[in-house]
Amino acid sequence: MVADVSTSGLIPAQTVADAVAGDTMAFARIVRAHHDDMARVCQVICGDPDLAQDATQAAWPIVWRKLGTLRDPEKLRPWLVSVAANEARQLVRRYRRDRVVSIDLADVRSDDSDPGRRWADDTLVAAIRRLPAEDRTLIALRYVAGFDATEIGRTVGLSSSGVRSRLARLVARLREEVDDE
Amino acid sequence: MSDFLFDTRLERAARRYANEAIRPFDAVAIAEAAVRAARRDEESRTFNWRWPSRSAAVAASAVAIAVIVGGSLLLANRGQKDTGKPSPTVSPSASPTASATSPPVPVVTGQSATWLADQPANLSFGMPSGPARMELTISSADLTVAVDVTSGVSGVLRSSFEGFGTGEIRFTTVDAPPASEQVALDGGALAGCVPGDQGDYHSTTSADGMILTLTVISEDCTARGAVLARSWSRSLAVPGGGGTGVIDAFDPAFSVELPTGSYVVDRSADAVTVHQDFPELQFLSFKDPQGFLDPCDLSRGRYAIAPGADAFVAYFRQLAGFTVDSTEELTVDGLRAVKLVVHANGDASCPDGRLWEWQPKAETLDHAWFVLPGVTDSLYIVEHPKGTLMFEVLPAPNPLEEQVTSTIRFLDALPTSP
Repeated sequence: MVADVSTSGLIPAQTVADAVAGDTMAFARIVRAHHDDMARVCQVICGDPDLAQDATQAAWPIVWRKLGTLRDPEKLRPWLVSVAANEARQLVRRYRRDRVVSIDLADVRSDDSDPGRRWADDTLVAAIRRLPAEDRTLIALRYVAGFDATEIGRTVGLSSSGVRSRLARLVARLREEVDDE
Repeated sequence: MSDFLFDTRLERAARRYANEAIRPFDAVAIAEAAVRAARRDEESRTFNWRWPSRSAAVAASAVAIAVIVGGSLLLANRGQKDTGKPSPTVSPSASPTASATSPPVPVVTGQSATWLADQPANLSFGMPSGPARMELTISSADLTVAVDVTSGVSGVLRSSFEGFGTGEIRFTTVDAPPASEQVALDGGALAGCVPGDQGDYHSTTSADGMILTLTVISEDCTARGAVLARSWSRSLAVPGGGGTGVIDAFDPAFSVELPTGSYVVDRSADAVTVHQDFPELQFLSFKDPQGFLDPCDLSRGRYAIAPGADAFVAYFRQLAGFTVDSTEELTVDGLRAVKLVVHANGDASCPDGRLWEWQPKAETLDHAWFVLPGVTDSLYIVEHPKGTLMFEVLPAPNPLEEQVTSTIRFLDALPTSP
């Protein structure tokens, strides 16, 4: 299952070119279109909304500096998500403290009206939160960003077959943790 | 459940979890901040240290020498030139920005600035209040100024401005103020501003950029003159560019100098963190930190810490999972202080990986601070008559920590003159 790619995130190639040329407003249009997508991925990696926002904001100066190295504007979204994901991974590694966010299951919000499914999802979210950051990165890139194994591999420095085998083990572990038979 | 259905369920759960990070944002502000940060980062990569610590200057000089040895003479000369100047000396009586090599912090740098002044007893804003603080917000985004008062009045005397930073500034009332806006001086109500009212002021900033003084040249609106014509202290407790300013997140307020940068601020009860990502720097300050009975389990409650630095050190000495590395007697702004270096043991293990350390006594929600195993804290605990105050510069230990903490000055009242 591949996650949807929001069409609202499509940015004309000219906008990218304008930003590369130094147009801050063009850059702002890119920010507007992709900031949320990047924050979502960072949230799963960091496990904390504040950190996720920090990581996303930390990604933008890098994007500004390196946008000129993006050879194919069609690949803007996965490139941005990769930059943000790497910032999130670094932030988790050097992370020391921040304001607490409750880690209680009760605070894992759900807008699902089906109580059974809500409970099941809450259990699964809790299991994701307990994963190491590197595993959460795979989950974020696969299920939130919708990356395929090749794209994930480029981001985290693994071969696509390595990504597939790690993801398979990870999903099996999650199934076991939430007792899904 | 089939693999396909579980995959669907996993995707749904992951995306719901991911949505917890979604918040409103200002794309233009983020873009502009990113451009500024990228440029600063570029500058720092070329040895253009704006506020190097002594150790940083030594390190940079060493790099420059190494480059000379390697034959890159031009780059080496640049590194030596920029880092070879005496770095600002920090002493208890001298502000680092007083250095001849440091330009004054500009009043408006393309981002909003907020200035503070205590509300005089003879000035009121239409409602009775005890001691209150006024905040003059200068928004370079829409070129407006307005005054908020901590007693609850906001957006008073909203005006456009022009000429800021040139020594003279003109304020112009744009819209009719709401009927509720009532400025009174010595008990007598002053006439409100009307659209088109102009006020011309001299504006001067202190050498360190901390004090802005506005004096009236001419003013159509008496109420605006009564409020604006005074000295204002730059606030560091709002997003900004660092430098010297006031943090008034708790009583006592204090002034401090942070390296020039691009900071955002997190505030909660008796705690404030001013932080930036490039380069990573956090300045944390707390009043009356209290501990936890169990660093793995907040729900077991607080560990009450008596006032004073020694009690705080004693708390960490008995706290499971932590090791006190050193304590050092010193003073901060003439007050007794203890520098405590403590680390969470590398083998400490809590179910969620976090070891909870403290939260301010005034905190009534869940905000608390923690570390991960193996992480070191370098804490400056100050015994102030109004409470136990604690400061930290992260990442710790940090060559900037002494430089920053040595600039802390506790304030009984905000400065009224440069």
